[in-house]
Amino acid sequence: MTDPRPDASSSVDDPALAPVLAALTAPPSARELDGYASTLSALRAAQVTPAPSPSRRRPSMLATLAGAKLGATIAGIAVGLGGAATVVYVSSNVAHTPNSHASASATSATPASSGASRTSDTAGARTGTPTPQGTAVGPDATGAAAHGLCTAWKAVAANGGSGKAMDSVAFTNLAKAAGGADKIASWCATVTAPGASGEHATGKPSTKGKPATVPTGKPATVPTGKPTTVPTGRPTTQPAGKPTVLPTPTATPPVTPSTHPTGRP
Amino acid sequence: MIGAEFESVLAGAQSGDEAAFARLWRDLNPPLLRYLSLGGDAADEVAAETWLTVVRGLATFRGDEMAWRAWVFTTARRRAVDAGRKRTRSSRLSWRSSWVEPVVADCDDEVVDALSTEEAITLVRRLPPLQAEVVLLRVVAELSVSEVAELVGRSPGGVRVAAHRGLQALKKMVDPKGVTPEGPGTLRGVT
Repeated sequence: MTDPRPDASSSVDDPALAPVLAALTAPPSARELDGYASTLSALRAAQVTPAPSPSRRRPSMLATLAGAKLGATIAGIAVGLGGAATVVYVSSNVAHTPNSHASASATSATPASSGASRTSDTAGARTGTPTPQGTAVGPDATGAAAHGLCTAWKAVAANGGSGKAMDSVAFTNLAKAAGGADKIASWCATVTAPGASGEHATGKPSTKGKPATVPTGKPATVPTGKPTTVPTGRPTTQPAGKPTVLPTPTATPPVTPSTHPTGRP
Repeated sequence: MIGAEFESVLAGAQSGDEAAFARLWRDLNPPLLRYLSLGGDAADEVAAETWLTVVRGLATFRGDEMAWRAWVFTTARRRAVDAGRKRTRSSRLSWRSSWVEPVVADCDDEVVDALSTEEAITLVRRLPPLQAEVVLLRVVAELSVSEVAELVGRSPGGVRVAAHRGLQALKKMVDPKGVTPEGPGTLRGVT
């Protein structure tokens, strides 16, 4: 980080400070190199049972902030998509329960929890046991996500079908739904696209080309001025008569107070 | 600082070479103790706890020497804050915003020609806590401004200001008359 502004590094050249700085950075005394034994035994103990906790440097505040913002954005998009998916499935009258919300909230939870675990590095490093902040559930392959999962699976399978993707939670769910990893292909063949089962039109329109008549120019009649009829006066129907039910107090105050103030004010 | 060999020394320490780890320890324990002495007498204790944490995370540490130093000092600071809290709780003192315990000057003419390290640290402890900590992290731990800023949770600008003020105040302590060979304008250029 280069910054022209001054700080300690430019002040350390001051000759008046030299004795202090020299003393602060003096070669170590024997006392300061004492006490290695306890650390060495700790080192040997740690090598026998290596701790699984990753001890990284604390990420910069900027990175944390960026992560949080990114997480919030992803969450927003995911919720938006979930909402859109709900509309699609409801309008196309698919019997499936839309699980998009579940998967969307799972997606949005992941960045937040990773941020939390990042800041809790202290605890992890201290106790030596990492604390997972939630497990991925993945999309429900038996529900609305089936078609998308099948599409993704076909794409991965076409590329050789190996690697991390096949071990993902989503494909594990898909394999479960299909009744086994080897049955995914045949199971996916029975899954229809969400839009196909509804009354949405499939296929392309039969007639191509431009519309025969295109409206050109300005409209012949343009509404101008104010509306001719403006509601005036009072509403024609008014509630008539008295309310049928009169409010009655449920609890009546005692007629006389039980205690009277005595004495002078 | 270990320098160019750091990478191989760290790799050796991570693969169980005790001599390599000893080199890391000898390089950092003295500045660690000097930094931790800001918190009072428990510096040795806190340093030992710091190394305990460091050896646990040693195998998974990745980074260069600056990252290594920053990590060790970050760990030290956390242990010091914990120790400070414990001490505060046990002595029923009021809550303090810093684990650094400044000391009050007992006499003005304690400055001698050749300062010992302990005396210099005593001078630093007279500074306000943030200034004292920033000065030691910059001068003794040799961390960069951005690393110190991250460590103490301040902006880099705030760290620069604290370092500058701390050094200015230190200068006044060692040279109360304000006479420097170059005249009073020497530090003017860095403000």
